[in-house]
Amino acid sequence: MIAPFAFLILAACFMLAGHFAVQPAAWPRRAPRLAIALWQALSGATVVSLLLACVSVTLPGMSAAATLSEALHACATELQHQYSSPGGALVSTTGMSVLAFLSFRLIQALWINHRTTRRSRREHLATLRLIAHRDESGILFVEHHATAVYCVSDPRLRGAGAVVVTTGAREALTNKQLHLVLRHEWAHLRSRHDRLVLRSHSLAEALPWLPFFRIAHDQIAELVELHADDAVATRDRPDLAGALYRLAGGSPLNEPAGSLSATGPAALARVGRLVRPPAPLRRSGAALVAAAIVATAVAPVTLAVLPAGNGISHHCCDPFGQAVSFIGDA
Amino acid sequence: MGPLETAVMQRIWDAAQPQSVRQIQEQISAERAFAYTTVMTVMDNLHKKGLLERSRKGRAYLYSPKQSREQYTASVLGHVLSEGGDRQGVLMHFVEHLDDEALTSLRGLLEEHSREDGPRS
Repeated sequence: MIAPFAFLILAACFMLAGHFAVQPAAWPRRAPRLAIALWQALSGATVVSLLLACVSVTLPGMSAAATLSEALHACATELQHQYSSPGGALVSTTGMSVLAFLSFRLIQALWINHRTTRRSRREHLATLRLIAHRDESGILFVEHHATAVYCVSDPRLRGAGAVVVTTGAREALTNKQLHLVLRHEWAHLRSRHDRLVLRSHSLAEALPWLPFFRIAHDQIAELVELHADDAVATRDRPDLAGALYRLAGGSPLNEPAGSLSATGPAALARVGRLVRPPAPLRRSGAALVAAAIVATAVAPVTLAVLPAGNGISHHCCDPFGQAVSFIGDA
Repeated sequence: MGPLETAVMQRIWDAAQPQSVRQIQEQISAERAFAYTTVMTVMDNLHKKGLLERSRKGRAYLYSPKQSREQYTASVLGHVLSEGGDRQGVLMHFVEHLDDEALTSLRGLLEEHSREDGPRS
C-alpha cells in the first residue's frame, strides 16, 4: 500500500511547488509563455496523480506497465483478490468511489463549462451582428460611451473571433494606441487564450477544496494578459500602458463606470511591466523551466510504470496475472 | 440571431412607424427574395424573444421594436461591463474599469516613466 501514498505525495509536491515556488517568483513576468506552460503541467500532473492514487488504492497490485488487455484481465483477478478479504474490499470500494467522484466532477465541470461558454459566445456574436458595424479591417464598433475593448473567440473558427471596440474607447485612444490595443486582442485570439483560461477555471470549479487550482487559474488569467502584451514591440509598450490607463477609466471623456473590479493590483503590475519591460529570461533559465515542465509532465506516469516498493504480488493462477505481477516486481 | 433576423431588426429600427410583415418582406426582398411566410415566422420569433412588440391592425399585426437600437445596445454593453469579473473567458477584456485609487497609482507610474524618459527624448 505504498503506491497510493507515493501518488498523493507527488500531487502535494506539485501543489506546494506551484504555491510556494512559482507563484511568488519574479521570472514568470519575464517569460509568461513558459510560466503558463508550467502552471498547466503542474495542474495536469496534480490531477493525474490524484486519479492514479485512487486507482492504486483500488488495485494495489496493479502495474500500469501492463498493456491494456492484460490490465483489464488483471483488473478482474485483482478485484476478486481484493474482495476476498473484508478489509481489502472496504479499501477498494473507497478507492473506487473517490475515483468515480473525482472523475465525475472533472468531466462535468470541463464539459458543462465548455458547452455553456460556446453557447454564450455564439449568442454574443449574434447579438453583435445586430448592434455593431464592421469596418474594413474586421473590427466591430459599437455605439456606446463606455470605454471598452474586448474580444470574443468564435467557437466555429480556430484562433479567430471578433474584436469589439466601443465608440467611447475609440474616442479615448489615439490611432496608434488603438492599433496597439488591437494587437493585444489579436494575440489573445491567435494564441487561443480563452481555452487556457476556461480550462483552469473549470479545474478550480471541479476541485474547490484544493486552493492550488484557484491560484493556478488566477495566475494563468494574469499571465495570458502579459503574454498578449508581449505581442507589442518593446518600444511601443509605454504607449500601450497609456491606452490601458485611458481604457481603465482615466480618460477625461469617461463617465463613472457602473462596475469596478478588484483587479487593480494586476493592472498596476501590467503597467509597471509595460513602461519598464524586464529583460527576457536568459537561455539557461528558460531551459531550466522547460526541463521542470517536462519533469512535471512525466513524473506521475513514471511513478505508475515503475511501482517502486509496490511489491505486493497477488495470488492469481492465470498466466496473464502472473505476467503482470512479474512486470510489477521487476 | 440569424442573418434574416438581423435584417428584419435593422429594417424595423430604421423605420419611423410600426411595420407590417408585408412591408418588411418587400424591403428585404429588394435585396434577396424571401417568402412572406418565412419573414412572418422570423418576426413571430423576434416577438417571442421579446425584441419586437406588435399590435393588431385589421387582419394583420403591426410590429415595432421593444427597445430602440440605442437602448438595446446600452443593455447589451451594460451586461458585458457588469460581467467584468467574468474570468471564464467568454469575453476577454483589454482592461476592466478600475477604481480611483488604482487609477491614481497608474497615473503615478506613467508620469514617473515620462519624467525618466523626458531628458533622453
